[in-house]
Amino acid sequence: MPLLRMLATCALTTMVVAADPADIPVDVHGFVGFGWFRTWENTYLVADSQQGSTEMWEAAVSVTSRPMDRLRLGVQLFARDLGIYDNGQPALDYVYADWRAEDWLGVQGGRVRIPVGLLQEEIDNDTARTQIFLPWSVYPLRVRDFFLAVDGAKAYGFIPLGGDQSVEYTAYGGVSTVDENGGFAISLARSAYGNINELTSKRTLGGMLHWNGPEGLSVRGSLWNTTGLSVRGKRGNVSTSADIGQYWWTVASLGWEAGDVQLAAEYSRVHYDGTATFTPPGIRVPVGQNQDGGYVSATWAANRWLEFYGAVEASRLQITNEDFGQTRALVGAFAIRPKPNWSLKLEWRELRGQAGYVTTLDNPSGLEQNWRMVALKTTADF
Amino acid sequence: MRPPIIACITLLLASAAADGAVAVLHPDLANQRLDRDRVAGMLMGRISTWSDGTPVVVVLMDGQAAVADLTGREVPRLLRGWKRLVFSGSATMPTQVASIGDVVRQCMAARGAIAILDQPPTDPGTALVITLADPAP
Repeated sequence: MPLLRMLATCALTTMVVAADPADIPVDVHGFVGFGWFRTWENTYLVADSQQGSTEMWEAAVSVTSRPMDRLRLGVQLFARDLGIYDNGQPALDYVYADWRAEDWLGVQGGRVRIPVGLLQEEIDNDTARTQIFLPWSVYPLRVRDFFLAVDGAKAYGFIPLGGDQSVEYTAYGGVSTVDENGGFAISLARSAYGNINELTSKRTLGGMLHWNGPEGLSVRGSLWNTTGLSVRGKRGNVSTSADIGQYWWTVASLGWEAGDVQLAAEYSRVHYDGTATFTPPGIRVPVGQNQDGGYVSATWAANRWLEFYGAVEASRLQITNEDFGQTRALVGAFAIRPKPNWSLKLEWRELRGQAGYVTTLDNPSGLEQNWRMVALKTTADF
Repeated sequence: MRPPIIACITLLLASAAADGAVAVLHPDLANQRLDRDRVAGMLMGRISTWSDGTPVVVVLMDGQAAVADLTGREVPRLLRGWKRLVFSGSATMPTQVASIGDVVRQCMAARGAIAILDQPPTDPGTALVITLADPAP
């Protein structure tokens, strides 16, 4: 376990074990969401998706405490099931010690969540948004574990500029650690690498810069880079491996908020390259991917208990210089909030194209160009 | 009971709709610097400590127009932003209360507490009550 993660865990354990609860307030919060989804024309996420599946739930519990001035400690456990991905296995989402020296400088060490784009930080907690899923064209749905956090540290801050304008920033560094049975590993296993028995990376660096402008305008730029990603697996009698030198994810974001209306537009680019080896017979081949995606969305809160969301998404995928085509999606959703901590949602997706989403692995009789998905979900938090 | 301290200090919250609005603060916060950006930053979870290091404890009561004037968001939507922060490890959840009396009690009890109300509480106890007025012309 990396040093910072270990220190944060020790600090938190000490706080919980040694503290008199009357002296140190501890905040406990959590959420749980259950959903159902069905696809038409193509199978996606789980083998019976065209019959409808309830393999969509998530739950988290977080504990935070501020035992002394400027210091905050926190830990969160998270589990989800999304079709064949993650299967309810609990994971340490974050564990940190946070020191806020000034408004413009805070430092957090441990396993820390990282911001990419406008929405990555709310990927699990759909109570914070109207739609069920974040835009697929920008935010990875199945492999959330790889892009979510680093074992390391981040520095962040808030700088008022006057006149309702301000700047926020985060810079982070560490190691992206993922479970060999998690969504990223399953995704790799299904691509070419078989059962994954080693999945490591050397270093992850990145950051985001966010400008809150006048009249509800905001602009954000995000950069994520991982080096030295190493995959080792076994597919039948064949030993598989991949070594990715550089893995990049960049996102440019634009947001506008005025009263009950929010508009957002984001553009994302993912790029990596490296080599893969399959032994026997000892084949060594280049691997790489370029994926561009973007969306434009609008959210309208009709009143306190009813919200609507609409978006247009597009993405394009190229794997090792071979064009896999484009996927476009029209998305509509609404949320009903009977209580502030309880939401009921419906989301509908009309898609044209398959690149990056559905494969012949799940659709052996062939892929349909036009397909759709409907999801229902209810989430409560405390 | 100590009389309410009404202090029109450096709080410059230009908002026509918040004419009677006040900030209710823990008694130890008398010397803190406040301005419109800073209060908005606290309400939105971007500023988590006072200048002396005391943790900011945001106390929220639904239905206060002054909160929306400062942040552009009514309390339910503001709280959804806080959930995003809490579940991504970036904040501690505000205290939610249902009555003016609870606002005052929380602001007297919790070090670093701040609440925004549309009108001054009739019985502020020992809490500081600071008028949120437009800056002098």
